[in-house]
Amino acid sequence: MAVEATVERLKRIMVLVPWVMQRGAPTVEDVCRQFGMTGAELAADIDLLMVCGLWPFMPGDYIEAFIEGGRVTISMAHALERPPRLTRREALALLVAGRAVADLPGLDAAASLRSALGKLAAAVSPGDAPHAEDLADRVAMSLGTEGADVLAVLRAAVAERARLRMSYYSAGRDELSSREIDPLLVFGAAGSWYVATHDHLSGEERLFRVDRIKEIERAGERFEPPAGFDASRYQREPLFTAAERDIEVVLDLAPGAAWLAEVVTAEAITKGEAGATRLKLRTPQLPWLVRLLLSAGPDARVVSPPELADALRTAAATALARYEPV
Amino acid sequence: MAPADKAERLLDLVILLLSASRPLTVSEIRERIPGYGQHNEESFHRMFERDKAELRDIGLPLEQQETLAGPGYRVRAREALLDDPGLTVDEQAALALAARVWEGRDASSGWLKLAAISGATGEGPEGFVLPRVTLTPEAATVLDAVARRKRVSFRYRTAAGEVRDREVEPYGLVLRRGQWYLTGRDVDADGSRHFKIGRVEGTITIATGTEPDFDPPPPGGIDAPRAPWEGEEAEHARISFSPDTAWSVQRRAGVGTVGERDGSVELLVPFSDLPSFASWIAGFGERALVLEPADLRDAVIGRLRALAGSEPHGG
Repeated sequence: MAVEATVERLKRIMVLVPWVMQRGAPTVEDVCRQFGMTGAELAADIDLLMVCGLWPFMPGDYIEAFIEGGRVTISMAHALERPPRLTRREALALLVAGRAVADLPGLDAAASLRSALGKLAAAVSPGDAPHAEDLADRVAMSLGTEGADVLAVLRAAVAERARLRMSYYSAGRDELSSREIDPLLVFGAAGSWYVATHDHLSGEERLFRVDRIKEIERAGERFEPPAGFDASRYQREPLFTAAERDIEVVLDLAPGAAWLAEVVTAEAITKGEAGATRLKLRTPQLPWLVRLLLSAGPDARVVSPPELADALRTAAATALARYEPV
Repeated sequence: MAPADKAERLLDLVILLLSASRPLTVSEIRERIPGYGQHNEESFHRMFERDKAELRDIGLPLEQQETLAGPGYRVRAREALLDDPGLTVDEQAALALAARVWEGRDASSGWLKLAAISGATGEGPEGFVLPRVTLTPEAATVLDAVARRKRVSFRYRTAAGEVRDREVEPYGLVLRRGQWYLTGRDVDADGSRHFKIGRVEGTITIATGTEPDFDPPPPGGIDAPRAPWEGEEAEHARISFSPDTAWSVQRRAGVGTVGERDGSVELLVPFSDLPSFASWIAGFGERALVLEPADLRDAVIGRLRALAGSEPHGG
């Protein structure tokens, strides 16, 4: 344990030293945030640096490192003035993530990003650069979404505080609605893009999925963001949580409908009847489940509630009536 | 020995070897690193061997050269340390944005090295947050196998619920809609396949040995798995959608309007796998009506009939 910890610590120190030297006297807070370390860990690293240096260890051969007035200063660390080159894995991660971001439509930074990625090869150990490039070619990461033009409109509107009018498909209720929104934050999470808004239809802060926006345009007004809006909340907490008042649903899935368990958030998965998988979940609405169950067909069976079974049968019968008029 | 002493010894060694203008012999190194001084011959040599291995773990290329007095060592700063790649301010900001997408240490430590030499701040735009992508342990295993060109084996459950052991030559890794897929050649089926890594049951095992097991095709073919409307030998279905639904199908499948009739929108949608396409269409309920081909129409009717007739409540 101690062995690996020492290696990791030295890796960090070899980047931390030039990072601090490059910036003069950064604050303790800034260093800790950038390097994901505690104040005590930083203090220990500074203590270590102070006792290190170069033979013959005359007074001028030691590194000078100290924390004073909440700021970090390092000097006399000639051998450590530059960080190590990027490892293969580091180059690979930056290449893959960078290409995926550059492929996002309508991103202002795309051109800068592509040219930055072109310069990465020089930052990797000479033998590793082609290897990292080749492997990056074999990882295709897509961050995009259908309706990329909508994403561009949203991003610009957030930046300019422009009120929007949109036609939105609510999957939960399975219906389209028109609403005015003040877009506050656009973010990607769990494979989808969302916009956090002040929604004028409900008068509340609401989240909408970008790929479900049918049409969107500017309403021609500016807005002031509401005082209580906390953008960081969407990075901290799960996006959707089951509420007490939600309906409890139990489904039995034959193997052919096992995929259903991947697309819903289950509360419990157990063994059901006759080799089926029993899925329990909570939802405020049923229409979206009716659509999923229409897709799953007879491989999924509604155990409860009865109103879901009824709604499914009615939906299937109504659809069937279009093919087989009575 | 306390870890603090060890860290001090290793850091002194890094500084000494980086500063050396010629290879230093083992006895020169021993003399110049205070941490070696108090140890006897045997324990010094053991310690030095371990330290050399750890320098390599840190990522420093240790150069060994024969000198008249035995093997000599140094780390060439030119090879080991980063030269300023000359990123512009815009390039730094763009790269900082991208680095935050990759969850885990690799992207952030890579970015920090670049920031350490350029002085970049890396503050992103407000009001816009990119998703964070995690390379799961299973996906990391696949990536390792892709890099080493080794076969992998695992137990896999298909969307249709069939569970079978697979042996695959992994060509690449795909992320789509937040899900990782392995793409490669299924050895038993002798065909190219996509496997959703989330459907692997148990662990993914890499074949033993260090020799590559296969030659992958050029990386151009690393692509996302197909949606129901995609495929190499696609048929076309003529389907009438209600106007509140047609837009989403057009957007997802990227198809244009064929015509409009009685307030409905007719679309010509390609498909290759009939059962999965029929399942997708059935999900639209009364908002989609398959006009042709007849076999697709029958498949959708069959599914709906099974659902419409099941377990009537209250007779």
